[in-house]
Amino acid sequence: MPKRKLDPLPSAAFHILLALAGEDLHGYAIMRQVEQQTDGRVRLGPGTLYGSIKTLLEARLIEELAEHPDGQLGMERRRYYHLTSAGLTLARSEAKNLADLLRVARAKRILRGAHV
Amino acid sequence: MSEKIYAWLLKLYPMRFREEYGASALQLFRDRLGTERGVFRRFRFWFDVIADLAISVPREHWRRKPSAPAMGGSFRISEEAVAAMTKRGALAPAVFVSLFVVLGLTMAGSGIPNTCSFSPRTSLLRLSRLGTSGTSEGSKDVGGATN
Repeated sequence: MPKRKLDPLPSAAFHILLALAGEDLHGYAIMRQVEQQTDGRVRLGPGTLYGSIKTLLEARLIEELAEHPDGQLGMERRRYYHLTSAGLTLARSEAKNLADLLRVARAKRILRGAHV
Repeated sequence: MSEKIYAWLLKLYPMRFREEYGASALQLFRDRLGTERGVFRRFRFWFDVIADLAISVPREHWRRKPSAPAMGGSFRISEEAVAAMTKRGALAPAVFVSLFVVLGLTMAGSGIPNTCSFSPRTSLLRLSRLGTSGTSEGSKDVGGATN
């Protein structure tokens, strides 16, 4: 069951779900997207990325697309991944939990600067 | 050259993982290698690759086989740990150490002296003393330990 393996949701898995929330992406594009959305702080390596993808696929939070958007001649075949509705629900729930924590941190004046 | 090294390093992953994601991982490595130019960026890239291997290789080896029946959280982890230790011949030492820990905790719970600085030798000596002189010494020592 997905709940067991991904409870709590690992950081890498959450980043991947967020990266796929906008569009269907292949492995390298997911890595770039995660790097971009974290201002370069998180750079997923191949092992971590595909290990997390495997876990998310097993939990049916993402799915591999049968047809590839860049399936043009001369291009190497890439595996594209798509966020499922269960994945979106989990990402939403995780984001809400983090938002609640952020609210507490703000109330306790832990955060300073632009976050406040 | 870098690609050949990484292809060789990929052999550290279990066969199952390599069959499924080996080609994709190598492709990702190739893509990223192409964009990381300059000494600093290359150094950082290899640092990331080594750190990634250090984290993900053990995790993939510990990953549960999909054919095995599903079981509840902590029991599943214990089962995996025992299976792995048996495979590595580490089960007997682990059981031995666990017995000493349990013995120490039991002594602490039953008020046998100096359990806060538990050592097998002193505890066994005290146990033998308790056997010869009854419980009076034990209660005296407990008082001493709490002072």
